[in-house]
Amino acid sequence: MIRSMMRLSVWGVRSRRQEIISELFSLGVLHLDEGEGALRGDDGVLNGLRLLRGRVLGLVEALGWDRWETLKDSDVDQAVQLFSDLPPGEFVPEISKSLDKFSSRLSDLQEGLARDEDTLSKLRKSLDLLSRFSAFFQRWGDSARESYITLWWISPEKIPPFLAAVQNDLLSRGREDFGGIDHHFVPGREGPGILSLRVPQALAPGISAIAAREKALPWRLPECCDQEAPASSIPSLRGAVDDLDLRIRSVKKDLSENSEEWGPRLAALFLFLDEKTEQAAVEARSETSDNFFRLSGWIPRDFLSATEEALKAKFGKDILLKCRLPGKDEWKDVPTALKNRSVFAPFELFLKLLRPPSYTGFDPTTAVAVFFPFFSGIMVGDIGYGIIILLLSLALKRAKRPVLRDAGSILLIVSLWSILWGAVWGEFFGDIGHRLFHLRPLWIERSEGVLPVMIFTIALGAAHVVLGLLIGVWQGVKNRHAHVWMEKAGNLIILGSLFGFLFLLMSEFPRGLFSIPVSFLVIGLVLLVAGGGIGGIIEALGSIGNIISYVRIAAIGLSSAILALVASKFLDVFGLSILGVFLALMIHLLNFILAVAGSGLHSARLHYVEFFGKFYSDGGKNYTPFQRRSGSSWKKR
Amino acid sequence: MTLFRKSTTESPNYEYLNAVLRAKGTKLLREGDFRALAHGSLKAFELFILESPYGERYREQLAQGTPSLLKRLENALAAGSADRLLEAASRAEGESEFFLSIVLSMGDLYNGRYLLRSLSGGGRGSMAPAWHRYSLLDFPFYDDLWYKCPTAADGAVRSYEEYGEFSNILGDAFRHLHETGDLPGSERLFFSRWLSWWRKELGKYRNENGRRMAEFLGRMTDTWNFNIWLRGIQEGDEGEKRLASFLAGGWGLSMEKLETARDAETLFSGSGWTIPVSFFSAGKSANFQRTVQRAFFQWQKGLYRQNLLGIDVPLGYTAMVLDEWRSLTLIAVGLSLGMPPEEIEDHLFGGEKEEEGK
Amino acid sequence: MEKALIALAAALAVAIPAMATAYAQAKIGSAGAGTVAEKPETGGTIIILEALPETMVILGFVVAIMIILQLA
Repeated sequence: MIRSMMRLSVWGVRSRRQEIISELFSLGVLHLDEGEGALRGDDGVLNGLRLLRGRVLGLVEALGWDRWETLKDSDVDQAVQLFSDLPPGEFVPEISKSLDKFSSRLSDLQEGLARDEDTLSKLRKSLDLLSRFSAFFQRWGDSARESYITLWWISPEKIPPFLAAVQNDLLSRGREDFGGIDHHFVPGREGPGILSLRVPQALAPGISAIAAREKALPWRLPECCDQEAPASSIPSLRGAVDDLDLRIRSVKKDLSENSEEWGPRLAALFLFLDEKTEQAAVEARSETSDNFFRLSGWIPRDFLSATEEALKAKFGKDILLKCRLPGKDEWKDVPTALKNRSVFAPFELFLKLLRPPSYTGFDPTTAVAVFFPFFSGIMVGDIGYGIIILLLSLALKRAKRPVLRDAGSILLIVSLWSILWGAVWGEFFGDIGHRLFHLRPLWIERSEGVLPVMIFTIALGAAHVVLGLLIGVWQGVKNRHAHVWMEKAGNLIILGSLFGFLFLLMSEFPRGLFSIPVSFLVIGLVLLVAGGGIGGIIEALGSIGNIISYVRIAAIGLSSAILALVASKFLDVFGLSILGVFLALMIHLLNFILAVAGSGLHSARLHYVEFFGKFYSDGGKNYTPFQRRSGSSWKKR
Repeated sequence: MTLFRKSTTESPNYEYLNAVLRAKGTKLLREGDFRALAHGSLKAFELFILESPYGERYREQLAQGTPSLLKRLENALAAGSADRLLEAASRAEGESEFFLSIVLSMGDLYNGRYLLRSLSGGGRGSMAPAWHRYSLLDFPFYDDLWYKCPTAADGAVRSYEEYGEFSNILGDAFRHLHETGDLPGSERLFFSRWLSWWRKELGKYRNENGRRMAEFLGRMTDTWNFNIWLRGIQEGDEGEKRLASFLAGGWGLSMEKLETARDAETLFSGSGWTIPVSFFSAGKSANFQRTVQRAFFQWQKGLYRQNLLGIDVPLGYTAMVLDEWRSLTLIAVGLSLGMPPEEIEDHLFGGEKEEEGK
Repeated sequence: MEKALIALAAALAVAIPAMATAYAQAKIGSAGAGTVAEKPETGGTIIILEALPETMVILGFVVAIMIILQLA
């Protein structure tokens, strides 16, 4: 059922505006109008709150803390108590100031960490490269001290001229033994590689000039070790890597401790600020004159009197409440809240996937609660499987999460229908019931009587689709949408006339009676075209397809029954051996999973596509009262 | 760089990718939003960004305590749009992943070009620009180049130290600049090496989507060639040197036309480019480059509604994201400079009215 | 022989639509997953789109049963 809603206007004394809004927030029943008085960018207090809220959330994110589900209402209440005496104009700068030190320490830590990690990766790369030269560095043993080793970025084709230039330099200094010159080249992936050049100390001063002439660029050690000679720097590089590693680990530990300690506190502070911001936004949006302010929104009728009493008790004459029913022109703005009996309420889950029905629309929860388990039960149709589903549902009903509890309630009803239909088809883990207890079907065995079951399911489909169309007609009439009811009614009459044809074909009635369904067909067509145009005719053809679609109930049931028989066949073939029992159990497990998943999915599909398609209008808005966000909805904004 | 390595073996997931991107596309800002922001205050703009999809990045800036409001906004916008593009790329599989990595590496192209120019002009400020952070090379690498490499030689060495294909290409461009001091030459080297790398990889895809990507690279080449052509016309710089600067592989502007055409109308006639008519008659040569660049962007954005089961949608989406980034940054800068709203709008949609007349 | 052919016909009546449905649903499903991830409110439309091709198999099944009943 869709809850009846009332339009509630709250008039209050301006001096108590913040208090009244805070009380409405804690009552949590009023769905405020969206964008009443668009948010202006010039409300200083509100803007300060919004920025601070963003900053605190930014800190929580920077800490890498993300365990919102562990926060309790009491954590937020603590923060509320801490600041509740102060108006936002005062606590915002205070909190902001106290965050400054923390945030600068945090960003120092994180920047330092990023820098260290960057240096570490550079050090590792250098170390990796130098290790490829280590054999070259050691080639000359102790005489290495007398020579000068440098590393250069250079293209391979430029190496010979470079070496020639170095030799020329040596020659020009009057030395002819080139033995003191040695080189080793490590090519890059593409383009230049790295050349290590060893020359006698005497050449050291001129080497850079030669390199510059020969288009070689110097290879450098990372900043931390750039005073070292490359050839002897490997040990100190290793030392630097170890030091950095250690430092990074300690900073990371420091950060994670910070996150543990400050994450939850800052998160609670964020939630407090979030509440205050929401309230301040409502304040800013309220229509305010010099002495009074006004707020309005929607409230479920059954909450009205309790809310009025609570507000009157607290604010007495400082508040004036006015309420009325929504006018016809307001229907499109009224939020939709559902209310169903506790047996049916879990089935509201099916509407969560869709946009809510419009306020004047129809809540199909009850119809789903009746037909969904019924269809699923026909498909599963096995006493044994039904009992397992029953046990499963009882376990689910004890789950913590409400969604799981709802699923448990739904499965419970499915299991009962499955057991019942199991008796109808005479199945208990396939034919085991028959073999052990001579179980007989109340009506028919599914694997034997395919046609009757198919006809039965098509009849079910016809009934379900007709029900959907009837709801559609009723909706059209109720909301005075002539084209809707005419189209649905036309559709219904056409279906009725087709049923008439079928009935006449299969019965002994005189052929002359065919004129009756024909005349109905014409009336139906006229209504259909008047209501829905050419699209209506396609819709009518679709309805026939929809009815045939219910054959899936028989088809899935049949496959489930046959698979269960296959399981027993394994026992026949392998006897009561371990292998036989194991295989039979495996097939049953597979079948059980397929039966539960398949029946659920297909039954849901029959509702979403075939049934809802006939009447559901999803133009509604969700009822989202102004209140503290709870539990899982404590998400980052 | 490993982004597209596995892409040759997987089958592309255009149905999924494009559905995600089409859904994300509906959340991008529209012209009306930009106009409203341009007419608001900087404070209102800040709050808008804080509660927009760029909010997470803006909160990061707030938490880090970046002192300048404009810098905070610019950083958040750059990071936020990069997040969007990288997320889009991360959802792609198979050839679409490879194609998107071409788009991402446009970021490397922009960043590299910016660094090369900053060296030559000597105009490197104290703060690094907002990098195209979606680039294949991480943006801290570009920060390094900006802050720690004051000369082209330093830039070359730092680029080579990355040991990657694109960093090598950039390194070679730096080295060219270091050795010759020729900025246009090193830019040309950078762009042509970048292009030929991708063309070589793209050669494996001989389907409709591969052809679209080839068109994409071809049109990029066209914009390059057009700029060279324009410089030649404006500066009377003719002959061998200019001819040698054109890049082969353009999409609509043939070498022959580039050599012979004396006016833009002849150059673009029958080229497949949609250039506003008024462009040819207008005398404001300063806007020529911008108009052609915009035409390239408009073409890319238009693909968003073309083949829904191909690379067109991702190409269009990326152009839209980049356009939103550009527009928001423009508004932020305009508001912080105290520009009148009309002037900001003029910068945002300046060419738009002219283009309606095409 | 004739029986075998009839059985084959029944099998094909299910198999071919099943393959076609599988192909269509795979494509629609992956597009649907992408859309719903970004816009959960489109869930209802996606369910309907995803369910559309399934009619093919159901009709195939009905035809197969008809053929098999011929056989009996």
